Amino acid sequence: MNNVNPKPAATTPQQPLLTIEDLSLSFETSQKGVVLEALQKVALVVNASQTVCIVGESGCGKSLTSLAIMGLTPTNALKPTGTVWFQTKDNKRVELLSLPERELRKLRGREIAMIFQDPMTSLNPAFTVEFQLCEAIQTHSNVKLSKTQLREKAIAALDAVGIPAPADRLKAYPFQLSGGMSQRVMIAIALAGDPKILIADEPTTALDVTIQAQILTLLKNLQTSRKMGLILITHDLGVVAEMADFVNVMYAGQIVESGSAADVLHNPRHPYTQALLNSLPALQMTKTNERRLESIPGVVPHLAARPSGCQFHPRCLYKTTVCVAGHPALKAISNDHAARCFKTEGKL
Amino acid sequence: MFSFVIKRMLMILPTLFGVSVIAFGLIRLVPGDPVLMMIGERGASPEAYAQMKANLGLDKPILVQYGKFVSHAIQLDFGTSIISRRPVIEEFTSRFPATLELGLFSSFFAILIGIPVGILAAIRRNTWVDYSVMGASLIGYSMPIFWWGLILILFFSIHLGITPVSGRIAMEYDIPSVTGFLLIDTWLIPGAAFAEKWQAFVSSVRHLALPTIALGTIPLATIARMTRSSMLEVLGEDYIRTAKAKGLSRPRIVWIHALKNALVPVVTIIGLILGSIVTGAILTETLFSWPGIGKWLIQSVTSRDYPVIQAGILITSVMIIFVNMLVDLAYAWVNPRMRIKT
Repeated sequence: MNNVNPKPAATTPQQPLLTIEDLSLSFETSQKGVVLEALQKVALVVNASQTVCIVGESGCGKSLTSLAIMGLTPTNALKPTGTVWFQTKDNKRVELLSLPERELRKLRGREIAMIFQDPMTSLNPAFTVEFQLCEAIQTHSNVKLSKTQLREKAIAALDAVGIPAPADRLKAYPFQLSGGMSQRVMIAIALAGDPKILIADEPTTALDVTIQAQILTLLKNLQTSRKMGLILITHDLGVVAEMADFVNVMYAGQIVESGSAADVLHNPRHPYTQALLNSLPALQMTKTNERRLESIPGVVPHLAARPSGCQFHPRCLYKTTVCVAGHPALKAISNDHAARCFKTEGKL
Repeated sequence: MFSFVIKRMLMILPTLFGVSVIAFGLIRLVPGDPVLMMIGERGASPEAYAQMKANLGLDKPILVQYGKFVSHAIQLDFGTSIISRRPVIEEFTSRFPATLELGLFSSFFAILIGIPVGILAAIRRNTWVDYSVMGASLIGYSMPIFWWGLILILFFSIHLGITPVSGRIAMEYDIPSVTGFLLIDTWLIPGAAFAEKWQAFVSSVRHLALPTIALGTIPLATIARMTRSSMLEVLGEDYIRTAKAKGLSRPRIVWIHALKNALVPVVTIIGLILGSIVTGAILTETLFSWPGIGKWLIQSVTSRDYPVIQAGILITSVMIIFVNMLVDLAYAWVNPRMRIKT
């Protein structure tokens, strides 16, 4: 990666939108002085128009990473450490973790927006779609908009996320909407501030399979037309194959493998990634087929009971004595493909 | 919303029927002969007895009696008080504004302080603010009205001497009744100068202060605790995270997004509390010699003034039913699920 003739930073137009380095996050416990490390030196980069997936089982720290970017970590968490550099719309580079809450709030929704796993509980049940959408539009508008202006913009926003008869939907309360419809409203709200990055935290997990595909297509289209960076958090490798440009596989608070979608999906170099891929059912699978659907034995270790050495070794098929004792580093395999495994060099 | 209001109003009818049966049955359930009891201990001649029985309408079949009772009650005719010999409704209307004034002020006191204090405790969770609010409300909640009222009198009236011990207004004022609310009527004294009106107003406020606190403390503590726990629950909901992710300000999240949801259980509690204020008013009025219906009802019970007791049961029940309906309507406002079919 050593550029022979590096351009000066000011003139490079293609700086990443978001650069996370060494992001760590711990939780305080009831025991004094004992902290549990939920994120360990997470690093990832998001460029404009790029879809970056974060993959892993529940409890791996995928959502925490995204909440740390937003400055919305749970109240019982300690302040995250590391750096999160972000390129704002007016081309300023800001470090999000050290930004005061007041400044950070201005970025939320306007620069970085987020949608969540369960759209049915993520919309406020006591207010209409119109209230919640117009509120977002007004918050991110520099001028005071009239009621009719807000309404027009709201209808346009609902139309843009593919909601039929948007004018009628405005009066609806969230409990009158289906899950897919709610997620579309959530997307409309998230995009009201025209953000540069959209974080989608398992946006389709709570939805029917057919609706999932619709929502993913919608996200893809919106991303392309708006040149947004998209951070897609998922545990579904099918979604990754469909959407990702770049993939980060997380396990127990660490990134264990990262690389382009093609590299990670077709040439997985970490046993965990491989195991995830093997536990993906394929339509062609039959009884006589050579491959059985596998599952990964065991569960993600609890925060308070993280194993020694490589975090994955208790569940790993390839573990050796070195895995129990030493901590593997994220080692580069090729240009942007890296894996955290002692056996990375050898063939898995 | 409109059809919900109509539906809710129709639901009042069966309750009213039940209440009327109880009020009607009461006089017939007392041990002994009501006629004898009304004539007096010493008894009377058979003619006088029959006369009294006819006067009370007790010689007719029970259904006819009930029908008469209901038709009179609808016309607000509750008969004549045995003690004062004046129509019950007249006695009632002259006393009711005092109770209403006390009840309203205690409710405002409890709601307007309880909800903000509960929210404050919730957003300052596990700080000294939270601990002191919760501690104070626990004490307030456990305080019996009669005892708490006495403590208030001892401290503010006897020790500090800043509030009067009893009554609605100082003796020297004779306020003509227009609305029945002294806080308003003091401003309507005909031909009085501003200074005089102001003094009369201040006097009525000082008289109202202690009874309001005595009656409002338990509701205040209940509302504060309920608001706090409901608010804490709501602040952990997904949609609050959404509101934060939208870039909304903290006050807007707390006072608009969280509060409307947190109010759902609080409104239910307020409905129950408003009912208890009516019973609490009876104690408070006795304690502070407040000339309202509570004190009047206590007197009528001790002197077995049946027409008054009947009217009291009927009217206070109707009031509570009505208040509950208002609470249900407020509930439908904060909780759209109540009024909209999915």
